Amino acid sequence: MSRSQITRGARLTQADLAPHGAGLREDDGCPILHVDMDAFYASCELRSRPDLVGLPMIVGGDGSRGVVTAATYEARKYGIHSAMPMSRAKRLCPDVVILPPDFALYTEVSAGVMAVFRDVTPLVEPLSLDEAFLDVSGAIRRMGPPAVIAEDIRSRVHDEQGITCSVGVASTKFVAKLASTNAKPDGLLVVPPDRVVAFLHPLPVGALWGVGEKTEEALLRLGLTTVGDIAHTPVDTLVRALGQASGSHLSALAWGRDPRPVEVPEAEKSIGNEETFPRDIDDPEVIRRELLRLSEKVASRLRQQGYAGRTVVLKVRFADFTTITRSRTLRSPTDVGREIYATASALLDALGLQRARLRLVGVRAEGLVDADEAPRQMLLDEPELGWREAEQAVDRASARFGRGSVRPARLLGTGEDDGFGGAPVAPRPRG
Amino acid sequence: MPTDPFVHLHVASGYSLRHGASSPAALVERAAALGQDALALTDRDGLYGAVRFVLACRDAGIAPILGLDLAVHPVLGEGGRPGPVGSRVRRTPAGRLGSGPTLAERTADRGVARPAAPPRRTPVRGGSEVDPRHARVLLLARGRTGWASLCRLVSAAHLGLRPDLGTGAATGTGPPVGPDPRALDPRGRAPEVRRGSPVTSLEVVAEHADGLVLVLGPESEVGRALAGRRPDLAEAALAPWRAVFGRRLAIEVVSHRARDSGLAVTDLSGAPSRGLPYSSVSAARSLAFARDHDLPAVLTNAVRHATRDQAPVVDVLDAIRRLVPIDSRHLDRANGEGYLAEGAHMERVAQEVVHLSGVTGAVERREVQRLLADTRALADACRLDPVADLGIGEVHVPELDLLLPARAAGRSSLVRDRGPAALATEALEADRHLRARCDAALTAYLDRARHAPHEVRDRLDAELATIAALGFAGYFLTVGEVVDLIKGMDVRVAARGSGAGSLVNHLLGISGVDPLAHGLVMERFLSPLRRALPDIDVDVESARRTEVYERVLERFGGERCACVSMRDTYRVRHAVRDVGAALGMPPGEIDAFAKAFPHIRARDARQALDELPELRSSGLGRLAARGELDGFLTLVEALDGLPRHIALHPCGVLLSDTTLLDRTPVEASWMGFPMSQFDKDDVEELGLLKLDVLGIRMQSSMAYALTEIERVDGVTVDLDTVPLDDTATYDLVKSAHTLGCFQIESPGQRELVGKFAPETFDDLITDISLFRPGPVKSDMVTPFLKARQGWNDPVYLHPDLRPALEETYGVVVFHEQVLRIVAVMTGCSLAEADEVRRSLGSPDTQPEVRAWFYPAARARGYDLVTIERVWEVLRAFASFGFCKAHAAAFALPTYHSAWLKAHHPAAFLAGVLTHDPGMYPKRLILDDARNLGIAILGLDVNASEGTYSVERVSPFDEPPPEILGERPRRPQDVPGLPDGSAYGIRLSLADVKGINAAEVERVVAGRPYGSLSDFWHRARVARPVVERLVVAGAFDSLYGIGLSSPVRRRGRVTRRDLLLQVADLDRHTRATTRAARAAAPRGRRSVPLGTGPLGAATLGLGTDTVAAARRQAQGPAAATAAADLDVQLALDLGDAPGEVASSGLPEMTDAERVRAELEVLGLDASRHVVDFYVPMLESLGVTRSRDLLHRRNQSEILVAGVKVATQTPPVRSGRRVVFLTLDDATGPVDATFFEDVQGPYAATVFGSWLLLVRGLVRRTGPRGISIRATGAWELGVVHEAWRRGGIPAVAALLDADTGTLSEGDDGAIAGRAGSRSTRPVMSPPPGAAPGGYAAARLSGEGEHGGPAAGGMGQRGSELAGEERAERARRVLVHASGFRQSPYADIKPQGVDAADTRGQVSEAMGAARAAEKAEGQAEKKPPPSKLWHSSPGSSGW
Repeated sequence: MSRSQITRGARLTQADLAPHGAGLREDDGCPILHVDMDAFYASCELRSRPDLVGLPMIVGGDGSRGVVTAATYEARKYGIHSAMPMSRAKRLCPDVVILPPDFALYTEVSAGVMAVFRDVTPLVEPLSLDEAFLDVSGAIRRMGPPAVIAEDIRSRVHDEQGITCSVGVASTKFVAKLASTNAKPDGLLVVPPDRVVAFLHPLPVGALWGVGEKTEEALLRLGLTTVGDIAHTPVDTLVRALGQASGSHLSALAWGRDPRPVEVPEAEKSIGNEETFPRDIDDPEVIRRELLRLSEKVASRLRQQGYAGRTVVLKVRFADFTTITRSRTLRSPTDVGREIYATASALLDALGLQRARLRLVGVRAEGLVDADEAPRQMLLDEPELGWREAEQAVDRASARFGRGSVRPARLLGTGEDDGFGGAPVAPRPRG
Repeated sequence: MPTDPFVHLHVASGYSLRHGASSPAALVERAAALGQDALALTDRDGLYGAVRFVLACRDAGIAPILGLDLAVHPVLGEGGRPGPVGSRVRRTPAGRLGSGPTLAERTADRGVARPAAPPRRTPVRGGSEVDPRHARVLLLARGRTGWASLCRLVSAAHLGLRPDLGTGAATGTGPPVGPDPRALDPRGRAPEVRRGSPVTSLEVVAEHADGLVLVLGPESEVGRALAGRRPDLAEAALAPWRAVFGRRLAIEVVSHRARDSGLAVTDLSGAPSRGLPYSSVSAARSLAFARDHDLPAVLTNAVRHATRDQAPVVDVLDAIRRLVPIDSRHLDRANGEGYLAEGAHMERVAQEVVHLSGVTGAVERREVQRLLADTRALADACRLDPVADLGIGEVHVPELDLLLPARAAGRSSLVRDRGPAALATEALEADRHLRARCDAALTAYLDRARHAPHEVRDRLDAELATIAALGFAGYFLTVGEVVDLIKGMDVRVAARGSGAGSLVNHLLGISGVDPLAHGLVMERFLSPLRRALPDIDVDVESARRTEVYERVLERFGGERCACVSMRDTYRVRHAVRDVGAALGMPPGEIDAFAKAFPHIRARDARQALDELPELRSSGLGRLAARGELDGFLTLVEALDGLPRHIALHPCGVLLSDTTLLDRTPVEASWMGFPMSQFDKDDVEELGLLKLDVLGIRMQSSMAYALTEIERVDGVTVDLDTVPLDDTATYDLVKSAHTLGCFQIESPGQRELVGKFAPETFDDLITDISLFRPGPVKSDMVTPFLKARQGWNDPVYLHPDLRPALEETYGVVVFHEQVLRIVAVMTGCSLAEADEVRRSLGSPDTQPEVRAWFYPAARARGYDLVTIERVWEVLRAFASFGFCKAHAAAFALPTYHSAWLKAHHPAAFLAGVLTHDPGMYPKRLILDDARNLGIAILGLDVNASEGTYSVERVSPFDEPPPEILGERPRRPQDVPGLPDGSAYGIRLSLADVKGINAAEVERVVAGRPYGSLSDFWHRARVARPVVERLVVAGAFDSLYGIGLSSPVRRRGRVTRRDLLLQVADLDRHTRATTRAARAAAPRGRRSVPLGTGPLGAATLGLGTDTVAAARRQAQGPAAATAAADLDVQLALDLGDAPGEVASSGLPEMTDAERVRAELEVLGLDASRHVVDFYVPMLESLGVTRSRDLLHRRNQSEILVAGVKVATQTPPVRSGRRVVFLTLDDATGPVDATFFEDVQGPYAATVFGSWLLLVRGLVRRTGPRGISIRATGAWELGVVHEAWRRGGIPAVAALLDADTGTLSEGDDGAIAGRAGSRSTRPVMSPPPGAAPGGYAAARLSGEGEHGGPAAGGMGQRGSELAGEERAERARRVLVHASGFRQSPYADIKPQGVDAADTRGQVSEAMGAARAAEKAEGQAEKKPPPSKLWHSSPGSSGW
């Protein structure tokens, strides 16, 4: 495809962006934007550490047992990428600068960025702290064509937050996402509807949204290496190879068909917290204590937002990064830390772990309902004022004296204010 | 009088696997240094270290004490109450054995019974806990009886032998308590007997209690109860032990002076918890307990390490043993006190303990003295004598009755008691019998011998006299018997080693080489001056080695026969892995770290990171240089040399009389052979008769080739009668196309035979002897070759020596020649001369020999100059040369293999491929076959076997002159190469990745198959394997899938279509099985009892070690019989050939096919990998192997190919030299990397699979050529550059690196030239450097440089990168002055070059990782390129 049709942001000229030019603009019919911050955590850090600009730098957990959570482009040149063990990163680049993560900062920057998006359109679908889909159909009259809007967003994010982002502009969500990936770093890529197929087909199959490692392997074995190969394979064949749903879905994607609209997350469907241990842990005591802490925190967030959860999900990631989740649905929804802990703890027991080393545990409440409407199962011998009331009292104390001022005895001495520390988990829309 | 009267009675060495941190020698050294006059070794679960320990004690003048630290089942019942000895009961699913309720049940209502623990779930991940912390007891041996009991007890514990079926001497203590047969698992193993970590019971210990003293310490049930403050339980636990040992029992008091909180430590159920067993308080309680029960108490330190600073190592070992990361919960020690402490320290501990036990004043002092005195008294009682008690040096051969059934027939039973008189008669009888056997064979020998009968008779008489004098006739008869057994099994067998020098061996049929014909002497093998058992090694077919073992075991019985074990010790890679795991490093990181090292010793890890250029420049090297890995590396180095695994020795078999099990403990090997806990050296020290039965894959290959010749051509070949003067065979050898041939296939040997041009069998013997470290190191090859090729006249040291040296043109090559030289010069006998030769090897004894040699030679009238010259030669020869008898034994299979290759190339190479004998990957052998015109026939479910089979190819099947622009391979215009074009080799199913023997058997049995679904249903092969078969083309012939063509013909099925078909079949099968399972609830999956591979007999719980060991066999699982092949009708899915609907998927390209072949088979069968690069190679003017001989000397060339071998052999300069062998489809290319180019390129050479190498040509002879490499690049990278920017881009890539090359100084270049000329040849050593392999340091560019600047201390943090080439370098210096790089002759880093599949997957992994590293920012390239396709082919 030629440069004139897919334009990198850096090459945009004023003429290109003229809002009322004659004839069809190439960004006609491309109302979907995917905005993705470049090396988000690292960029946030660089705002306050300009001395590190241009050096290989990574953000990650402490010591050699943590994981890289973000890497600057300079660091990526050494082969470092996120989710890589810290010790490997250090081996690849012994001189790399390592900064501890500051999630409060990232949350704050993220909120600022999302605010910029919502100024443009209410149709914002955040994927995580650092990326979101935008449907700008309604803003075109007000702000100009999508490419102009995109460039505007890029400038505002840079001006207001001091970090760069890349934007993909296309007719569908998944093409927009591929486009932003292709524009990285600090770029803009418009894929007009009539160029979608030409854009997609040379891409490797793994680039398609939803093609994981296993599917990729299956496709490669059949000699399908590019999206174009998939597109030109009979749907029947794909279905035979991958099953009904993903076979036809992939075929549609390969032709650029993706009906999924940008969806504003209505309400939180789950509340969860997880914690990566500073080092892999096999001590059941420590794991249980962590579960208790996470359960208390989840319950506190539930109460804060007036929810009760029906299903408790335990997430466990092992030293080798394999991850499993187990869930149990309660008879009635709960917002009581004790109950969540008891359930999570039982789920952990069921795993029968003996020598397994854990990298991360997480607790999540799903099936959220309004706490006031939640039916409460009264037990015969339950005291009138139970754990729920006790925990509400803790909430009030926390509000007054600070978080962690009152906590279970088992969590004493686990750090001054870190009783509720750890990595926050951004609520993710499911599906 | 000892300066330190204390004796440590509880000491674990490193032979307590993953428990002790010090070697026995280190412990002895420490004890000696402290002035202690005795020391015990009480390893856990075995006596592995006993012999070494006793020898070390002997050398240090310390009295050895031996004991055992053994895990035992608790004697207390479930409620913490003792069951009466011998009547304890086990739970069974059906109820209880025995009568009435157990004590546990009776006490349950009193609330002290522990609730039955819920069965533990199988963990979803991470595995179960190991090392269940059993209670342990300590047993010390007294005298010979005690030692025998110890040995038998260890065997019984490991093999799960039961007292009721005892050792024949069962005394019947208590009723039999065999294991509940229902408790056995289907393989007939008692569940609690886990191989390698035995847990035994009081009953078994009681059975072998003679001569043993029991010591109950903190880890015993008694000790644990006391630590848990339950003296009542301690008392209960003591009683049954006391009943057995009576007065031979002591309580062990151990205090590591750990703090005790003072709180009672019991859990709610009332059972004692572990408490703090090593606290002073617990120790005091133990002492008080001993006094209360009128038992002697002894003070020990439960030693696990020699010195205090090794405590962290012990932590690592605890973590490794339990397979968990280090955490206080997993560690056994509380502090660093468990070391071999001095007596004064122990006395202070004693005072502390006694004080805490509550006595005061004079009583206290007396108590301290009593504790120490009791310890000393027990030690004195347990001192062992190496000779009288352990029987070191005694020779025991199997009873003559056993060897001569006729003799035994005259008696009612074997005479077990063999007194001295009986033994003497037996020896005489053995002599007579040996002579009779020799005489019987003599007539036939004289018919074919070249020597006069009287010479032969004299020689035989002399040999027999020597044997009789040494009393070894029984030994020869035994070996003869074993060889007869093997021959009776129709297994190819050949003797190896110096035994080939003995006429008796030849006459007995042990050795096939005629010693007189080749001038071999007996004295090198057996000398009347040495009463050491001679070594006879027997080579058998590797594929049938275990069968031979079984037969030998069966013949001699488990009471006389056991295999020898060996200890794997920690080297750097395992140490890195285990320390990494203990420290909780990510698994991927551990792997990368471990593979970065060559296979060096663990203690050299730090130095390797500093010295090896490819490591120094890596991220690891830089982190290490900054000291960031110090803690890690210290632990890695601390593990150095500790045993980590006990395995079956590859060849040793012990043969003895029935007292064997009194002298060696036996455990089961992985395959279920009874295996002595002693290794080869221990066994030799003990004087046990060891026969080496070595499996030689070449023997299997040749046996296989012979059956293929018979099957395909109907010709029966008897290799043993093939004349040794076949011209075609020598022509083949001279052509240097000797890949696959025994002993002469290495790059160096191919170069040597090319120059040497052997023409007779004696030439072969010489050739093999020349290519040995000895001759290479003492520079014999150059003068030899010069004289042989007529360039120089042979030079003899003295005319008198001419007869001895004529055969090798005046050069000393053989040990036999040294013997003759010494004999001629001094007039001594050959036997004496052999003693002289042995003494020459050690720098300590060399001066003595010299002092004797000079006057002796003077007395014979030799002038001083001659003597001086001869002495120099002898000295340089040291112990190095090679035993001619050994070489002759080697030369026979060498000749046989070359003969087969010359006359039946296809069958021979099929054998080589099947049994994989060589140093090269199979794909290189395959390419060799192609070059001989042999067709390579693809994998085919209807034609392939479990082996590589030979098929006749009709001339019509021969390839046309040119296919797709490619010339077919023909035998090149090299004289002497056979033409194999009438044959093809069919690829083997056995090499398909993941296929198991049973599947292969089913596939072969079910042939022919009409379609894929027919195959699916009848062969019942796992889905991934079927898919691999499909992509490797095993169904091509069935579906008429031919060569790929750019345009797919309509209706033609592709391999991809078949893959989809497999998916459909799998889905269908799952659906139907699910339905079937729903209908019939229980499948018949369980294996009936006793139908394992070893048959029902294995269930008999006999005392026989053979049967017991077999019960513990863990593998390899025997193939299930293919007899029950289902005759199930194939479901008609309409996939008969021609019916499969096309799926629209592209057919695999040539490149994809080759990649699939490499992944599935590890072979590139359809095309050579390098073929895909041909356009680029041609445009760059890369020289191919076949054209190398046309290149001018000193011209710069490029070569390219697949890496098939890297070697770092020892060379004279003491530097590391890397030899790289590439295969470029026209033959092998050898390139040499000297140190100056290793800096920038070593990592590429070790880490890549496809390489482009730049180098200078050096011509060394008419067919000799070598390349001095000046650079190496990954072929894929070069190809990428070429594809993007053509030749200029490649030139730029290659030039970019030139700057880093330095030529080094003159000396380095001279040395290099010397070693380059012919690989094994080196210039003479510059000077003598006494002392074994002493580590020396050379500075800068080697021996010509100045003194080491800075030395070790100045590990240059200020020196960076390449500049550090100037810093000190370690060199090993041998007695003869030979210098060797510490990195010579070790397996290099990365994946083994012979493992094609490993390398391919490694390369793929790297490609994937590289892709991921490129990140999301850039467009992802099509994934996983193993190599780059030529521009024409699609799909890449």
